Amino acid sequence: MSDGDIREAAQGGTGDAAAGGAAAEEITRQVTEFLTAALRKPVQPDDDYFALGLADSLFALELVTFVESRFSLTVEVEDLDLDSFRTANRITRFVLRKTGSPEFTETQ
Amino acid sequence: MTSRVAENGAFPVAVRSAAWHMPGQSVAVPDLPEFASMDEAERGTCLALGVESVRADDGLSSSDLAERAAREALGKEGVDARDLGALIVVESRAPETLLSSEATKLQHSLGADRALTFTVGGLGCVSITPALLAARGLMCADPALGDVLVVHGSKPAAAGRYRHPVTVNGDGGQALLLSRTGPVRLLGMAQETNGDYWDLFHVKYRDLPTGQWREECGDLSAYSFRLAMETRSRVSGLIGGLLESHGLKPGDVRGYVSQNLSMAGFTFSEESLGIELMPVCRDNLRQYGHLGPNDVFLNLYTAIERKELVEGDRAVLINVSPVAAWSVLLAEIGPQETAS
Repeated sequence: MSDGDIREAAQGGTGDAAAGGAAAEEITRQVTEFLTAALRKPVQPDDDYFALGLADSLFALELVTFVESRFSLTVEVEDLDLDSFRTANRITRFVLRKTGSPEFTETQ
Repeated sequence: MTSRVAENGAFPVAVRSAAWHMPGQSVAVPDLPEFASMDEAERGTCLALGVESVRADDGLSSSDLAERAAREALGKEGVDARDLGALIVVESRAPETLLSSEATKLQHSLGADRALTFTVGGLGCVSITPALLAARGLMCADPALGDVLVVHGSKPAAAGRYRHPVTVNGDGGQALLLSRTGPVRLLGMAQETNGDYWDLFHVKYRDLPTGQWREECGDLSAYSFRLAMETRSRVSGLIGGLLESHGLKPGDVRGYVSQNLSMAGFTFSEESLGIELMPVCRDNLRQYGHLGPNDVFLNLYTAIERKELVEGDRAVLINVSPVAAWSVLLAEIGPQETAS
């Protein structure tokens, strides 16, 4: 799945998928809002802030802590694939996977 | 000399005396030779580390630094090097020569002729922990063994002292004289490693003049994200396990010290572990920079000297290395007079 596919997968789907799509959009909105505040610059859903050199370990800690607390999940050592956290859309996908969202399982 | 076994079954080791040798010459970070050749981003990161200056003496090798610290540690207790049971040298970052032995060089220069002598290392600043584990193992295996001296001379491997984006390396020697009793008891030690990161930082040296040696990070994103977050899990688990194995709760720990890398590094440790590091860490970072395996005991003893840790207090010493290795040590402060 490409970074932009999450919202697309949710559009025009079944009732569950549509509900999941709305949830995905809300997750992405919350994550981009956090990123924009944390990095003090506008961040778009597909911006790779690691590639842009905007991230350090303190930012990584803030980001993971935010994801854990906001979405009530635990990021385990085996979850620490940078590709899951490079962009807001990828974080959304990660959150959907960790929380067992039906929208995520339908679009695998 | 009799051996004792701690209540939890672990064999106790104590630091009978500790000493450091810091060169008299210091260099302010903006005056480092490599500073002028850094790009703007590197310069900004370097200045934000929180290191104001480091001790630096090109005339002293790692062995020289270790030897001076060793002589002081032995002298404090009036111990003759010939009576040492073992001499454990934490390897230097870059040996002066290949094939030769820095361990037996120190054995010879100190006159520790009867000491079982060898080197440990391979884990960056965490290498102090396998040295202590080896010492504890020897003391456990042989109740008649004399004191064990653990020494390290910290000097950067590369020509430059700045390791982007991590720290600035200083010069300094450390010696810990370990015995079965002493004013600082090491109640517990725990260590974990993950070889996925074995080459994350490296210095290429073959066929290169020393002036071109650089401490390089192969993957900054892996360092700042994956390793950082794994460190949160690893160290948190190690501390929890160590305290639990000794029947302790977080409230039973008077203070935490870590290795000195940067102010942001301290903040990361504090926020990720939910702890507060003792102020000595930031103070020592500011004036000495990073001293590799020597940082945690320097911080511990600075806190004792300042009476920020007193008899009966327990402290946790946290070490992290990007090779990657993590260790925690549990220390208990005893009476600060010499133990027989």
